[in-house]
Amino acid sequence: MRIIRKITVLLIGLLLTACEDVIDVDLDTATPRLVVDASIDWLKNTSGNEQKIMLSTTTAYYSTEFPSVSGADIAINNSKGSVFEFIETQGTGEYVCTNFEPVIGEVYTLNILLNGVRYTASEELVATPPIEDTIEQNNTGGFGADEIELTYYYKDDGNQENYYLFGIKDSHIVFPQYSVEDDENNQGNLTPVYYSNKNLETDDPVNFKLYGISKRYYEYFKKVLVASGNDDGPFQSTPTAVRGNIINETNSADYTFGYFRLSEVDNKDYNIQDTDL
Amino acid sequence: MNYKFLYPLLFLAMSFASYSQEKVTLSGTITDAENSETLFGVNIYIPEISSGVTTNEYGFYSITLPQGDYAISISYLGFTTIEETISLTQSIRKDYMLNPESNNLDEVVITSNNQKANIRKPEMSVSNLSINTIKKMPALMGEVDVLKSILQVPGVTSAQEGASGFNVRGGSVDGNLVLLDEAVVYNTSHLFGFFSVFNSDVIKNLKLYKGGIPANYGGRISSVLDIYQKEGNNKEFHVNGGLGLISSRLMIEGPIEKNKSSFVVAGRGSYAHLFLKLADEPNSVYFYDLNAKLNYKINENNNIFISGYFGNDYMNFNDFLINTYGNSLLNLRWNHIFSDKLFSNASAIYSNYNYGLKIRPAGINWESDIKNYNFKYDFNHYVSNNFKLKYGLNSIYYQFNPGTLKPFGESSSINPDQLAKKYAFENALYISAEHKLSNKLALNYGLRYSNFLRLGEEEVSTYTNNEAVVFNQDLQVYEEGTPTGSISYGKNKKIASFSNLEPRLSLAYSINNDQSVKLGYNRMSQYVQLISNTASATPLDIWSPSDQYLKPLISDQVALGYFRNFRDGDYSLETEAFYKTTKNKADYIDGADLVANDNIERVLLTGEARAYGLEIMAKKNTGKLTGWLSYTLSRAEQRTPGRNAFEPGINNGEWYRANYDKLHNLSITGAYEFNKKWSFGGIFTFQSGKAATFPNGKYQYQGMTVANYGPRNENSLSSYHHLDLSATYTPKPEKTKGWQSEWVFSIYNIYARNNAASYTFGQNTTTGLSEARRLSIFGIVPSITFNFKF
Repeated sequence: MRIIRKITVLLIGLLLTACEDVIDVDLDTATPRLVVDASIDWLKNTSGNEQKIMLSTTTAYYSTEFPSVSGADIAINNSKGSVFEFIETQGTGEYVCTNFEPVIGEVYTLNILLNGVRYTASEELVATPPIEDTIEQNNTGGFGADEIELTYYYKDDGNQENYYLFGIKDSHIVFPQYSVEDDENNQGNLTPVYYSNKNLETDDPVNFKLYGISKRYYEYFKKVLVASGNDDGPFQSTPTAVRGNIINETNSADYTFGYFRLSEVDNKDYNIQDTDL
Repeated sequence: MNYKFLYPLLFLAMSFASYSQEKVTLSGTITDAENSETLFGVNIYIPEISSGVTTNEYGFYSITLPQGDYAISISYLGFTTIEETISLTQSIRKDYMLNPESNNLDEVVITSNNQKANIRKPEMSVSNLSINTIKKMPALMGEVDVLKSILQVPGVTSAQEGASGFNVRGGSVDGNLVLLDEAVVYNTSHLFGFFSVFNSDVIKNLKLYKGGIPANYGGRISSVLDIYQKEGNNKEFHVNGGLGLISSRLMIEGPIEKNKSSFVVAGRGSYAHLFLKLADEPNSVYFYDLNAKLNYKINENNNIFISGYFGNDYMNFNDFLINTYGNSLLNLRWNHIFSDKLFSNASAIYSNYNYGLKIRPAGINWESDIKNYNFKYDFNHYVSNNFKLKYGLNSIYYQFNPGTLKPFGESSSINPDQLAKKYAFENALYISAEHKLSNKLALNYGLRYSNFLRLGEEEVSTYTNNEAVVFNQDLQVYEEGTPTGSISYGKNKKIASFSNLEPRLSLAYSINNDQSVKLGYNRMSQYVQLISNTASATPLDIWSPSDQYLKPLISDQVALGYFRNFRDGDYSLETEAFYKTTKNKADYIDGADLVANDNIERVLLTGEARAYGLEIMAKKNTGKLTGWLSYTLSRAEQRTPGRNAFEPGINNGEWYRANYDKLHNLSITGAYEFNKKWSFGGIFTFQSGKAATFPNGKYQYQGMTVANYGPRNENSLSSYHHLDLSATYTPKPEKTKGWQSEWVFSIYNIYARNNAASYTFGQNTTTGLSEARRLSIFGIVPSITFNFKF
């Protein structure tokens, strides 16, 4: 039911004779914290051997740089005792593994040792259905019939509770767009995913990604979306510090941001067809 | 249910009735001579005993005196005072008709003093706004709006422009009991809060209780807004109407059988899409409402009223999203005068609020509603001049449908679903006394007993340790609990039950004729709440009844006030300080999704709330220039500590400011009668910015920038202020019969300030850089309205 709230917020925004402008707000900066972006994505039809984990810290809100964190020892273990090491590309905070073995349903454990502090997390690799071949384009979509509306479909697994992350890259927005959904109201069905933007033009590329995620990650990601400002409008819920699943084993009070997630992913590229009416 | 403990109270009430035998009683009804509307709150004053009474909601009064001659003075704002000498040898029934004042005067100068502070009455924290005062205020887009007008009195605020509802003394929107002819109104707004559902043409009067709430009201913790509709002219036909930028309205009233029965029908329809940015788009946005009332005077002791309200909002955006909602109220009332000392009213009320949403991208059609059947029986018992009783009972049966889900559109993947319906039965008994102990000291005290039963049929989940929310120690986050099983309750079987005794007290001590000190205390309980975790109420918020997880709200409030009139009431000053605490305030775990959630208990924790403040109202009541200054200094906070030592609660268990908390709130309202043709109104509002949470850093995650936030609501938006002006032009002010008209010109936010409704912290879509965006709802809004009557 995420989509209902998001769309209604949009609606209320539209109803207003409102105007939005960028302003300067004086902000404090808290002491930096470690951020772990450990997202293991197993793209369908690939081996999934190459994986990347990124370490950084928080920074001032108006800063244009994100400080990377070097010098950590990072490894992922599976339940059978295999260890997959992640080696830093010197000085970048990017830690790369080339021999990762993704298995659906396998539970993995992440271990990070940084400056004598140990961080751990564990999570299961979640499967995803494929994105169906048909992608629909409606040139009179959106609230005002002036947006290009795209729809793709996936078939939900009717035998279990599923949670999904939808990622969209659109050449008019420099960062990826995300949303999450559960299958509470469409268990087992061929389920549509909508995206619309009025700036899209003929031949513009759009990339869709569909991730299978765990319930806990779904709950986490909802909060991340609020904190990222993607859930905006006059009726927002209060954003908070978003705690992920990475545990500081040395000093639990000194918590980190980020998440250790393992997802199977399907990927589809689409080029906008003729937008003439 | 066990009401036995109330018997002694009722017995006490009856025994008072019989101790005043040598005295005689003067009683009757007071009406407006022009249109026969009964008048509420008319003062009947008897100088010989330096005392008097006021008429009740139905214009009835009763005063008991020793036999003798008395000079009676009957006064009411905007009406010529009647003064006459009356010789009372036996109990008599005497009805009075008051003539409107301004028509007869050469100069349009307000001389009436009824706006002055009420010194002796043990009633405080009450705001009476006459509909005439409200109509003189500048209105947004020219739509006279009673809900916006009450924001100009101290202690009342709203989260932001365009937010539905209002907040009283730090209470949330759902804590207001809003009554239209005694029927509960669940959603008071059209178009999400831009306009109220109350058509000013049919409103007779309204009274807002912010504290010292008498025992005859209950069911909400924060305030009572009691609105009465006109009964309709039982002498002659009249038509009243207006053309505005947003809506047009028409009211027809007249006799069915002269002096015996009358009707009033009023309708309002909008063409609101004209003002939207969407004018030429394939969209449709409108609202309408219809008010109707019939009254029939069977004889001098029996009066019957039937009133109804039907309103609806409809919004369709390109069939992408269709949203409808509306209230329906139907009310049958019977006034019966048992004796010159005992007035009664019985009401049977049906009320329905429904909400529907269709969203094409989600493929969903969601419908929800709340229905209730309400029976009330109230008595006003004029035992003696110094002792009046009110007692009665109230029963409400509720049916909640939190949501019926259906697929919408061909490609919908939605499985039809019905969220669990909920049923409840709320009962209350009350007794309340207005007791004058001496010339200086008057009391109003009462007790309300309320009982709430959650009834089947329903399947209720059970959880380990009865905790539907669990705390994950490893990750230090609250998570939804997993049910261990469920209990199935049959139809009308009791699921949960709550009872509360609610004492009420107000006390007025007059220092002299112009000064008094007042004290008020009330305990209130509330068994139905709006489930909301957004900064202000939205139409998606669903009413939910109390159960074992969502506990009833219990609130205690004390208030102390000082009231003074200067220069015989030309000026008045009302100051009050209040302190209020609320138990069982629901709070939601981070990331809680409340929309169409069938298991709200899995995302809610229980905390407490408090509010305190100082309110000042200074008024100039007479002359060409009238108006008031209202100032509130207040704080509204809540906290939700952990349930045990191992969990932190919400916001680490610390107090945090309510989303609508504003430290300073100043409003200056003025009306100036320039001449008979031109009059002017103005409102200046200044408020501290409302509470907000700003980021204290950010990080990169999955290609996007995520802001990090510290404790809740520790920051404030920039201050909020605007000046609104209006001018009313009456081309032919001397006409009092036939066609009469006026033009109202108004400008909202005349210096076009971009007041912030919210700040959003996010990335610029083109540069990817972090920025703060301010959303302002209204810039400068000019409008023009044409009103007529004949």
